[in-house]
Amino acid sequence: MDSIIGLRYNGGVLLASDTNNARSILVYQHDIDKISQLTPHAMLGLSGPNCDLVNFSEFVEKNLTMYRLKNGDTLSTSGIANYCRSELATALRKGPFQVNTLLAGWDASSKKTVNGTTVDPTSPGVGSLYYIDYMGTMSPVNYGCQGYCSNFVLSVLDREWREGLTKEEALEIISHCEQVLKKRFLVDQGVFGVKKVDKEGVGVVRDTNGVLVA
Amino acid sequence: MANFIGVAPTIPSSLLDSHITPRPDFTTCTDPSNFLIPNVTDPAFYCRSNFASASGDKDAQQVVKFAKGTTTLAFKFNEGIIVSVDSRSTMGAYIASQTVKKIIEINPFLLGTMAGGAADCSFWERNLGMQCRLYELRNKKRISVASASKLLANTMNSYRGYGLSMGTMVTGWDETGPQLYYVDNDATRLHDNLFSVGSGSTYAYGVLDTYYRPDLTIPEAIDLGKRAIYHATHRDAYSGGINNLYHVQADGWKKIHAIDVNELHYEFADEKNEMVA
Repeated sequence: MDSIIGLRYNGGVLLASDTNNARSILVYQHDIDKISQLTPHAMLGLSGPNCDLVNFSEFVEKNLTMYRLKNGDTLSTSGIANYCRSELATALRKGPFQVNTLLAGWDASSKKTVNGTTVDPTSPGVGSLYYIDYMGTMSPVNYGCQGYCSNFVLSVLDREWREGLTKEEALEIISHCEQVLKKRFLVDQGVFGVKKVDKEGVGVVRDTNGVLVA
Repeated sequence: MANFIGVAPTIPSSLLDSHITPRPDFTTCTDPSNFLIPNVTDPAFYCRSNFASASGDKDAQQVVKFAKGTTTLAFKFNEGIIVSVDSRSTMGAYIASQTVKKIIEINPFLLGTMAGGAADCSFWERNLGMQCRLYELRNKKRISVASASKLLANTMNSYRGYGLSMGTMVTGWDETGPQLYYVDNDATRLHDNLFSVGSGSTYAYGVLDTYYRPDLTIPEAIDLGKRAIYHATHRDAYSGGINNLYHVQADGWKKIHAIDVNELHYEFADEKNEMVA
């Protein structure tokens, strides 16, 4: 019943996720963080069994750290996305991980195009969002979601997302998504935790108890 | 588990390369987190269909039927941790035992609780105790609760899909203070202030969530742990027997009481009658 929502805005990306951990009919915990920081400028929102969430995000994070120590530079967001995709594609036939993810990252705008759009070299850098599922599908997107919530909020994102949103506008869209889920989805999703990644790096916008962080 | 005795751990090399599920190295049994595996083509499927712990009558065709059905709870509060459990073990409608020790004393600072398959819980928590002792001998300091619970979760992860059945809370006091973790056979590992596990857990949660406060006094906390288990045993046919209750503080755990829930029933009934009178 995990819900992960992500969208790009001007100079960054927002990821939101529910904070419930349930088994059978029982909710065991209401403040779980399903968005893990991989590098200072990349984070991964995950949906799937708890042990896979923990094991996969720790595995990727540790390997990215090793990459940085070996090569003296962090991988670009597209590099991380391709790495995650290939690990999940390998896992598909071996079985260690079953996770659906949204990867958000920020890169200084050294590249000419991101998600097919031309980048202005004076811009505040570029946030990019990747949809990666357990079967190894990877696709760069402007907005996306994982889980049952997609049935409700994809239309809201289709309607409201546009290029060049401000962070505040993006947050407003997230809260519209939450309202739709609260009203129309049978399962109570509880509070949503929200994180951002921009020039300053990954940061918490709203913590897992629903408290806004300045 | 007698079925495993005498099974040679020799597996055709073609199976070692099998890419269906990753499995532990079963060519040796010296590793503490390792176990003999039946000598068949798909050991995970074999274990799952013959030894898995299923609720209701779903294990009717199985040769090995598990003892299970439980209420266990644990919560952190300002004065430490309370761990409270029932003591009934059932095999379907049959009550196999009313005197099970469901709180496992891993070491003087660590407790584990038992829910799900009785054999799996006692085996793997005993195994955890050994790993914790080895850690102590190697590192000259006690293992943290976080590490201990992670060891158990890693063991569960390596046997995923084999039909193990275990829902446990690992609690104790370490350098970081009182700690409480939930670990189950799906290798889920959660950290929180309050957990209840087992068939009666929904009833226990009802009482516990309603009356829980972090600033409970020790007698209040003991009373809450006792009552939550009593109410669970009252409504859940698979829970009952004796309420065992432990209190964990900086100097380790202490057993507080073992009371027959039948006595609690009349004690609480009298209490209510007095309130009405």
